[in-house]
Amino acid sequence: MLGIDMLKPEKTLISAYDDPIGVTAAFNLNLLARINRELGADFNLQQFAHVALFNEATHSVEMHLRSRSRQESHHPGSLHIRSVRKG
Amino acid sequence: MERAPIPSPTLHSGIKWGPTGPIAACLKNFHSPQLACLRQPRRSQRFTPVGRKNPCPPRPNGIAPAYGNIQGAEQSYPWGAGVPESKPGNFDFRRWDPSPVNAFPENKSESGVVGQLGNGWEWTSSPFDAVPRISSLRLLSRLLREFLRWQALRNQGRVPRAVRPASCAAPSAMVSTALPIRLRRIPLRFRVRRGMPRAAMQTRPSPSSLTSRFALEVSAASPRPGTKGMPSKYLYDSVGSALFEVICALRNTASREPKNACFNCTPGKSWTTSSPCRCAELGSGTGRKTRLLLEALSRWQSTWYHPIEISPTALAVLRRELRDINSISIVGFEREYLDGLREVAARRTSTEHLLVLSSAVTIGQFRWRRRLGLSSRSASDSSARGLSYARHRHAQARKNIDLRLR
Repeated sequence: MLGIDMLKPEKTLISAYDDPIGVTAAFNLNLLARINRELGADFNLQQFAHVALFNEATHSVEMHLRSRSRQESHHPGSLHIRSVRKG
Repeated sequence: MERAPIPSPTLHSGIKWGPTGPIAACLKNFHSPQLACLRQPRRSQRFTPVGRKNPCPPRPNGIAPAYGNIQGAEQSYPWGAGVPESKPGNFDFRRWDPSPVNAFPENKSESGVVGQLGNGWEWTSSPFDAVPRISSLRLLSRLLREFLRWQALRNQGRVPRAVRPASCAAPSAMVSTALPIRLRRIPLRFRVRRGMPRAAMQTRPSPSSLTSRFALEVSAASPRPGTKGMPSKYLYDSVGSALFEVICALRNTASREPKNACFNCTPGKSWTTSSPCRCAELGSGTGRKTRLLLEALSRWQSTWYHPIEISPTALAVLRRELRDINSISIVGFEREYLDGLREVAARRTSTEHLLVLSSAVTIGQFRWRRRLGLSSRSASDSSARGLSYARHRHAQARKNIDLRLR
């Protein structure tokens, strides 16, 4: 097995995974938007922030969607209400 | 056709997350369930930087629609000056049932484009399949690429003109959304559709089945208590794939350029083999990084190359980009890593070597390493195996690469 990588400065990595244009954020938020589109849920995308973190232990970049506030999402197909805590 | 409820109307009302301004408007279109529909403009009204002589004055926001009729006058909508109503299209989701192509002959373009559709698979009963030279996915990625190019021009103080899209299935409020497109690079023939047999119509899975599958996947993929994870495959729908392609382009031209540049193998590090080889790559993307390695392999022997990639768009681009390499047979798998590796392993004969490649992103994902029974060496260990990316031109890299499989 051949693994190829070059460990880059954290700042460089974060800027690559949290680009100023916001395309990476759009890519990740599209997951929620897709749930909205296809499942009829009502996630408020404006209430989610895109966060990119460098995990030094695993040498990997983690991307998260952080809720800006406590919110509830309704899923009409399953009659579920999903609570999302802040943070 | 199975009827599905209309997605949340809030999708169309001001999504302001992430980027602002035109890109938000651009993404708002992509997050709506339809693509933009375009009208063929006059040559003089195509994508032109402001400052040049142009009959259309710029709008206050700096974006001028390139719409115009045959006489060269600007018009408000693709069909003229009339407000959006049911006659030219299905605005504001007044009905869900799709109509066949050419159901609205009044919407015939003055420039000769007929059968104008806002979104084929939704607004019409004809599937939105690929037409020669362009598919819906490629169109989407092109739109995004064009937008980034447009934004770069704007950052330089050059505001290009834009084409105003109007989807016949879009809410009327979205009709005036500006979207920059360099039309000479986007054939408008995608608007012209042929009738298809009803049996070929695309249908949507029922929301309940999707919901239950989503719920199962979420519960099965929670990496930590209190944190919800989702399988990465759900990121790559048509919108996600197009965005991912833009992300790759951004990273390759900016901070992660070294990764895209080439492989720079340590001189003297070589592998040789007299037996056939299968090469599988986890998360191959569009294969730009792997080209040099495959070219090196192809000089020594015929090789099976199995890209394992979750994005169908990236796989399609890879097949197109690498098809010119001789002695390399490409069989891609649109799978997650482990599933793809199982497919490759099933095709491998007892005499074949298997070379598994992983790039920067996948090295950091140790869960699959453990599941494969690999040692838990760190990413830096992996990079210390004598291979590293470097800023070398391809020609220089080719001199350095001496890859043989032993």
